[in-house]
Amino acid sequence: MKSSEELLSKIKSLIDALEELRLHIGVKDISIGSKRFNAQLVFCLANACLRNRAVLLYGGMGANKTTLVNILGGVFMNMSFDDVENLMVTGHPEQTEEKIIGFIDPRQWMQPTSSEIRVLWTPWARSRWKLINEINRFPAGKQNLFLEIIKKRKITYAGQVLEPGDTCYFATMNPEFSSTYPVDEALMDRISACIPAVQPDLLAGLNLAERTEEIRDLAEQLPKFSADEFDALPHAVEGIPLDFLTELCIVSLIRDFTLCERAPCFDKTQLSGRNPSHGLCSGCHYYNNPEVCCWQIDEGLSDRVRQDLRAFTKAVSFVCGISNGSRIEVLRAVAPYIIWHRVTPNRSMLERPPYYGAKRLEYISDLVQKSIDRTVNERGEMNMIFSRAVDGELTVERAIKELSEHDDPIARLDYIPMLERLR
Amino acid sequence: MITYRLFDLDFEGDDKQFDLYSRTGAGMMGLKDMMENAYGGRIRHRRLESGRGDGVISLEDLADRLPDHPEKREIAELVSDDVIPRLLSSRPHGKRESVILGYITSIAAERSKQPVTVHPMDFAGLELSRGTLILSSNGKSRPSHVGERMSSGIIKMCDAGDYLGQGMTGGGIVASSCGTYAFRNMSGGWGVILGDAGSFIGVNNSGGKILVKGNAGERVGWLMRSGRITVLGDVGDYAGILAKGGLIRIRGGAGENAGWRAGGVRIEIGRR
Repeated sequence: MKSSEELLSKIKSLIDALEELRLHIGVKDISIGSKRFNAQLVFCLANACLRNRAVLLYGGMGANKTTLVNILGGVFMNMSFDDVENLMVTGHPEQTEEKIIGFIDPRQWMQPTSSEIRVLWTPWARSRWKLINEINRFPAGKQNLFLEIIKKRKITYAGQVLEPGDTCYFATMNPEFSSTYPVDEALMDRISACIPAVQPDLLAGLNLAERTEEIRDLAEQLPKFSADEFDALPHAVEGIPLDFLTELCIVSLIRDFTLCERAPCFDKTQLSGRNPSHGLCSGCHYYNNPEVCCWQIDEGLSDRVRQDLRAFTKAVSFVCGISNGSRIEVLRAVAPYIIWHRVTPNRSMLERPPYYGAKRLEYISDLVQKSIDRTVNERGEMNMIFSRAVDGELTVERAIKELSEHDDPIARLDYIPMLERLR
Repeated sequence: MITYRLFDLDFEGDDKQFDLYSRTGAGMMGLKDMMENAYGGRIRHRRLESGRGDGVISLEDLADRLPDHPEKREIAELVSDDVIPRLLSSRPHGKRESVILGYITSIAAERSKQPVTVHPMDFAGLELSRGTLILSSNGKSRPSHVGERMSSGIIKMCDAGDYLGQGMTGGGIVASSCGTYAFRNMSGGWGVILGDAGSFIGVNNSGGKILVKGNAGERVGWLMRSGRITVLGDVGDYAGILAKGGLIRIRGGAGENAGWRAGGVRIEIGRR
């Protein structure tokens, strides 16, 4: 098995080759510490290093969404660009389950002996690199098919089960056009990360103008991963450690978005109908406090988000070659892309400058920074009180008294009730 | 001692600690050590600032900050003069936001020395207490509940919908025409309809003056106890039904059963 260093070196050479061959020159729109990267490329590579997670590329036409995923598919599956392109399924209202995943082999009815039903699975169904192109051009009912596939990680048809193995899922999506359909919230929650694919800037446009050969020919010049190398990538990512502060920031981030004093069990995922955008928070003392996240987001975050935050923080650290120190900066860069498509911001806040109702990702990014800053810089004392009480160094009564002086949603709605149960 | 692996870190603890952590439901081991490790002794505490954010920037924002049934006073406290023009150009979603926007039209008129012109909207001039409000005409909409519970000031408008000037205690309204239940429960002030009025004008009135220059529908001054209603055109059936006081003057013709079971009201019917 290849070592992590060798795999990382190959990924770096792939990134360089993509730029040199003018196959992907994206805006460097995320920064990790002092380094800047292109989010579209980094997340696609990170997803190629993980398994059974889905990345959605969102943007207008011609933003190199489908082509990039197909190029990377060729690289990681060791196939030609054309072969990978033939694998993908593209959304339109006439797509059927039979065209997408497979159909019953009609030849078996001609045979004299009846045996178990045979299904002819499509290349897409059998592939471990699955691209769902234009996912919002599938009508809502057909989108449910993908919900099941991503959820179960296996495909069933006519009583037969296909288990293609650990798979990399990608999807692309245009903004709302006349022939698109809304994407179901449950399917969106199963999308691990949503990345805006923006048009190349002026300099990138000039660089792309230098491309003379066809994409399929250029793609052949990229370094390819063998099956062993492809299988070794998740192990290399798994070897990236996460420090406890980053773990704490991840959990606190989830709780900051999910806790609500007025929701059942203080859990915003339990809400239906009434939510922060529809008067739930009127009169709440946290309401309109810009430092608190709870009232600024309508929905809570599921534990799936925590898993995605951990996985992508590790994977992006690996892909970007950040091997030392805390992963907080990686988390800061990654978290907005994991969260923004899963939640609805408070519309009155989103409509304010500098968001103007359109910059949803930036708005979520600001909330993420606030939460992480608060955990890193301001929650130390209350976290120590809680942990000392759990460790038995402080009496529960004393800890509750001290924590009650901290007007923080996590202290009030998580720590104190937890300690009260411990009494 | 047992070694415990949590997240990606190894920690050591004894069985007793393990039981304690299990009881917390967190399943954690060496939590204090991990916190110390995470913060590295750099523990600072700052209380959550309770200061509110910026001023109101949109109607939705204002609606979010208000209770379910807001009062005019609560809205006036939140709305500054500079944000009023932006709020008045908003499109309300649902009755609650319409009511809030109606209060804002009144607040705008009260704060302005000049007449304030707004586009036609339901609940405009709600609880107006001074100033002049003009509703421009778009030739389509007939806003309802205009001038409801107003106590002073003037409202001018083209065609009004239902419930014009309902519950008003003072001030005056001039409209080209109106729908049903205009000036219901009126106890003061005046209303002039330059054209025709719908049915049930001046229902349950205990004061105020109403002039309709055109025709009016049925049951003019129903249950009226005081006040005055003048209709220069014709009226429908049951004018002044069950009325106990006041004056109803109809210069045109009246339908059937005028003054039915009425007592104390004066009803004058006849051509000028």
